[in-house]
Amino acid sequence: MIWVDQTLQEGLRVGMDSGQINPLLELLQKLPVDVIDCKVVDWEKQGLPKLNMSQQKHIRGKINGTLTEVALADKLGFKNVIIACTPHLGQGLTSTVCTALFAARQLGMNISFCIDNASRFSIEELCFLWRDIPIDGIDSFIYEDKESLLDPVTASKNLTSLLIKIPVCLEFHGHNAYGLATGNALAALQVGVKRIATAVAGIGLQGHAAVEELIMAQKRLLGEANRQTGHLALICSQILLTMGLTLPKTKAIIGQDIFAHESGIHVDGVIKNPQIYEAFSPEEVGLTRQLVIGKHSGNASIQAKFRQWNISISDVHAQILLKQVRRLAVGQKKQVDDHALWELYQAIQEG
Amino acid sequence: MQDARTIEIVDTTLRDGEQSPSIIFSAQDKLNIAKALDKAGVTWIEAGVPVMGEEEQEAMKMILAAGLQAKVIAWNRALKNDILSSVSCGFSHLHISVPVSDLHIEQKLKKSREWVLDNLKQSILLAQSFGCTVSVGAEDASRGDREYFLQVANIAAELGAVRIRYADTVGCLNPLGVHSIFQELIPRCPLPVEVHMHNDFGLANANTLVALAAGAELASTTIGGIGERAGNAALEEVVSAWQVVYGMKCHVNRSDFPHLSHLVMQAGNKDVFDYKPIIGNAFIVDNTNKIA
Repeated sequence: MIWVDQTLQEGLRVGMDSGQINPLLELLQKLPVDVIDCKVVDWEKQGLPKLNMSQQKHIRGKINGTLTEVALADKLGFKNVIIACTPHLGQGLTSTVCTALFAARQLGMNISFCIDNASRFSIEELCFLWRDIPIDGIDSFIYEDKESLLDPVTASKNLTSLLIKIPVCLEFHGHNAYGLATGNALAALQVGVKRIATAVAGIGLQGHAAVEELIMAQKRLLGEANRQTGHLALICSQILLTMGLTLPKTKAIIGQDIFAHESGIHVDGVIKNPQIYEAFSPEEVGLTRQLVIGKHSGNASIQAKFRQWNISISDVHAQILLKQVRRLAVGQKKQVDDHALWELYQAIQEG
Repeated sequence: MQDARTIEIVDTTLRDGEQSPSIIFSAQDKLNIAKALDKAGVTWIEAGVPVMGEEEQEAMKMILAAGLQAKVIAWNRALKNDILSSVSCGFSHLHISVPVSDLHIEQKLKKSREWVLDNLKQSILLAQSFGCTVSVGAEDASRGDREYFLQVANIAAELGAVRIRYADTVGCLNPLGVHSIFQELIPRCPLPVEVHMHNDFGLANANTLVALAAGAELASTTIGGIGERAGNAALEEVVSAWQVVYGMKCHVNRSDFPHLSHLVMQAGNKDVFDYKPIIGNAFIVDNTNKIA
């Protein structure tokens, strides 16, 4: 278990109701995520019912460290909770937070403790806050970078120190305001953090690390064994669809067009060996390779395209076609589709 | 406290950005984007590939005639025709790219390392014979032999090239890996290093920033991160993170990003994903809320 889902929480935040949440939860179960986080107040606000037995196992409720929210989590059947706080620099935990921790412990909840603004503190200050926790048996300590202050090297150093100093499971929850979330999360994984917050396509308030990017980075860049990834693109796009979001065609790992090659140099390379311009094969995530004809095409692309139709084209003809293809593509401001390419070819044959 | 280092941007929205499969800019689009980049303070604009043909050359001439503050660069392979096309458009800054990984040299070019070096030398000399300033690109450097990259850099430096581009062509680097590579590479490299990172694993921005922090002096970016496959490091993310997260300097005006993004997405007929940092609606709405 590594990836902690934040997609559900974004669904609740943007107002998905129970009719939409259930299909979303089903789809999320198809991803290798074992814990699904959500804010208990948002669960209530959307009018969702008390958690059923199976939901209790997977869903973890995040609450602010107050007695009222602990009581609400209990009422809605949350067995796993995150008690979160935003301490002030130079001060310990407030008595409100400590009381909430006691209450959750008495209710027999599994408690994760989260410092939302952890990246504001030094390691020493975080250890001081850790020692301030008045109860035993905390399940995990969540280091959250709410303001996206971290870079990957700093994240790796801070988390390495905390792994030594904090005696419970360490979790990392980064954000993406400056586009560094996946980099920071991958750094956390590399130094040995065992639970990392992620969301499909990196969605969420202030963004998250994208789960599909981390799954493939773990598999391909760190060479760690992984579960099946052959349906990754499909599952992720279905999840976004459920949420009313359109997956960008060039979204890393799962976008429809990330294996569409147009430029002459690239097509020429991919025909010789796909690895020349692909970091992994399209089948690995359930996508397909496309050779696109357009402004950036070269002779080799034109010839390769016609070879797919069992037609061999001379260099001279390819060059004539290429000129016309480029003019047409620029004129219509889009790629030249198969039909239009065929018409250009016919015209040349007749001429 | 560390000194606030200043880095420069080499924006390639008009070259690698336009190589995104679904995007074609008109000559007028290209001119408008170049002007907006210039106004935002970008110092280097990689405008296109003149050898591609008349349509591209027309756009290049319009940009060169616009009297921009930024230096405008043409992208070239180490081929005579590429260089002559660029020169005849009127370019005085040429980027010459050669592959440096054995995979690319042996399987794409079907040549040898020696052949590449020789070809590069001749191409640099040819460009310089027309009075051009040359920067050299090392394609697929991340999958190549580091010593060979340095060999290319040394030859480029001896011939008077102004910098070398380290390209992670298929986006297969990770930030901690970049940290250790660049800590070793930068002190040994005779030229200023420009980093060109692709986004196949969503790491282009992080990889770029870690390389900059380790001593790279320039970052190759595109507006909105548009580019081949999953795209490139995004201009707005690199500049914002460098200024805010790292507390360093880059003389590009962040308030120009909404306009730049709008211009490019409209010209390329694309929408910005709501959750794209800096320019996505989820972030813009959030910023507005904060102000209100």
